[in-house]
Parts: sequence; structure tokens; C-alpha cells
Amino acid sequence: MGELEKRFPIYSKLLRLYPKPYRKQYGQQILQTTADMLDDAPSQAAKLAGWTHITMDLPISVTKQQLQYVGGIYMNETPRYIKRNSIVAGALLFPFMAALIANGLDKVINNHTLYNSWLWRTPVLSLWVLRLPELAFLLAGGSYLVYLARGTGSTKSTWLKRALDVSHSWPIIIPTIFAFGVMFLIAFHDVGQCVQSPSHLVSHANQTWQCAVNNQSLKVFRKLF
Amino acid sequence: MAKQYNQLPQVAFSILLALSLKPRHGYEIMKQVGEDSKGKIKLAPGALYTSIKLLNEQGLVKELEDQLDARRRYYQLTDKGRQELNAELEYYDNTVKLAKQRKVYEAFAGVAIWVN
Repeated sequence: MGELEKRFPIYSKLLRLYPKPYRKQYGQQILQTTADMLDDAPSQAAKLAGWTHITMDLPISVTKQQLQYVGGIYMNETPRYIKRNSIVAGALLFPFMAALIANGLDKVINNHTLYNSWLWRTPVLSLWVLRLPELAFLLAGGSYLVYLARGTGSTKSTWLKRALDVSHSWPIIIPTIFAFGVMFLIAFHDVGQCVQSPSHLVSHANQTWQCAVNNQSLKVFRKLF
Repeated sequence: MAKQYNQLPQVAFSILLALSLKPRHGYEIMKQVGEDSKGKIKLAPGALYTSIKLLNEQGLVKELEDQLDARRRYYQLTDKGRQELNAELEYYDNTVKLAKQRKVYEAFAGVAIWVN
């Protein structure tokens, strides 16, 4: 540990919030400039004001650097198929989000819901509730698996490292999780009614399981499939 | 065709101005920017190096090749940086001249007040 890291143990740890390349290039200089600034402060009050300024600035500059870093990777290093497929998956999920938002707005503005509208009739409903999110999940999840297997092509790394480092794969992970969440929600949103309490779940496990398997949402989900 | 004029962000301009006389290290730049702006611009180290990184990427400043201090890195203007600074100063100079010609403002006790 260097002299400056010993002098500012908390601040030097907080500097780890910056992206690694930036920290490597400027981290030590940020600590040195902070030390110079505090050494030059004429009073304790000035030192306190200096620290307040630094503390307020840190989250802003960390956010700026992280956004630049992530943006730079997205523009220059993220494989083209990930960018394209993430946009397509997002577009496939759009009708689901739009229908839910429209329903919510209708409830707030007109005090009724769109349950009786054409959006909620079976062929249309199965399209936006199931088929499109399912396609989005397959496309995004498949692209993520391809990325894990192939990587970016520019750097050599194992699939485990690629799975842990989401800086290249986040555009495809977000729609994968979202699409999975949509399907999970559709299949199991009624299951919550089967679980009355944790102790009931333990004492009536079989009954709870039967209730969950036979719940209405899962039936609808199966029927639509 | 005339070169398109791209206005620099205020902090970037202040850093270039601070480096116009001599190479400086981080804290010297911070102090000089504070003095030049009469305390209106107070840079924290995070904001300072965010701007320095940007200016470095744009080729407007660079690290001094022979560092004067083992612990502090000194930065200097590049030729491109000096050109950008001159263009910026020329722009401000013309703007102030124009404002004076049109009597847009009158200095009153150090405060610029707008008149119709």
C-alpha cells in the first residue's frame, strides 16, 4: 500500500468505483492532488470544505466515467450481433410493455381497464403476452449463449470470465432477464394465493404444491402454449 | 472552407487557459482555474481529471515528457490545444466587442446588468 493510500484509506477504496483503465491512469494523481489540496488548506474549516467538495464530486465523476467507459465498450467492442439482437428483443417486448402501460393509464384516467378490449382476446393476447416475449427470450438468451461460447473475438478469455464480466454482454442480458420475468410472471402470478404463510407452507406442503400446480394462471399459460 | 468552430465546455476552456503559460500539475491547475475565474469555478480532483482525460483524448493537452516531480504528473498544451484556445479567446473577444458596440450591458459595481 502506498503512502497516499495509507493516508486516505477510505477515499482510495472509493476510487475503485472508477473504471479500471481510468483508475490506472489517473487514480494516483487524484490522490496526490487531494493531498496537495488538503496540505494547502489554511484551516480545519477549509479542509472540511475541501472534503465536502470532494465527497459531492465523487459520485458525479464516477458516474460520468462509468457511462463513458460502458458507452465506449458498447460503441467499439460489443459484437454487432449483440447490439442488433438486443434491439430486436427489446422491440419484441415492446407490445407487452405498451399494453400494460395503456391498461394502467386507462385505469388512472378513465377508471376502467382494457380487459374487455380486443387486446385481451385470446389470439391477440397469446401473441403479446406469450409468443413475442418467448421469441425475445429465445433470441436474447441464445445470443448470450453464443457470446459466452465465442467471446468478442478480440480478447482471449474463458466463458466463466465472460459470464462474470457483463461490460460487453449487458445489452443482451437485460432483455433476456426481462423476457424471462414476463413469462414467469404470466405463469405464476396466481401462485402467491396458495402460500398463506411460511409455517403453512411447511405443514401443508403437499396441499400448497397441488394448489400451485392447479392455479389459474398456470392453466392459462399452458392453454395458451 | 472555414474550419467549423466548436465551443469548448467552460471547465475545459479554463484548464487550457491555466496551462497556457506553463506546464502544471493537477493541484496547480485547480488553483489557477480558481484564481482565473475569481473563485467561480472550483474544481474537485474527480472533475479535474475527468476533463483532463477528455482533453488528452482530443489531443489538446498531453503529459510532459520529462516529468519535473516523481509523484506529480505535469500537463502541457499541445499545438492543437493552443489553436483551440486561441479560437475560443477570439470568439469571446468578438462577442464582448459586439456586446459593447450594442451597449448590451453596463458594468456596475462589478456586476453585469442587462439593459433593454
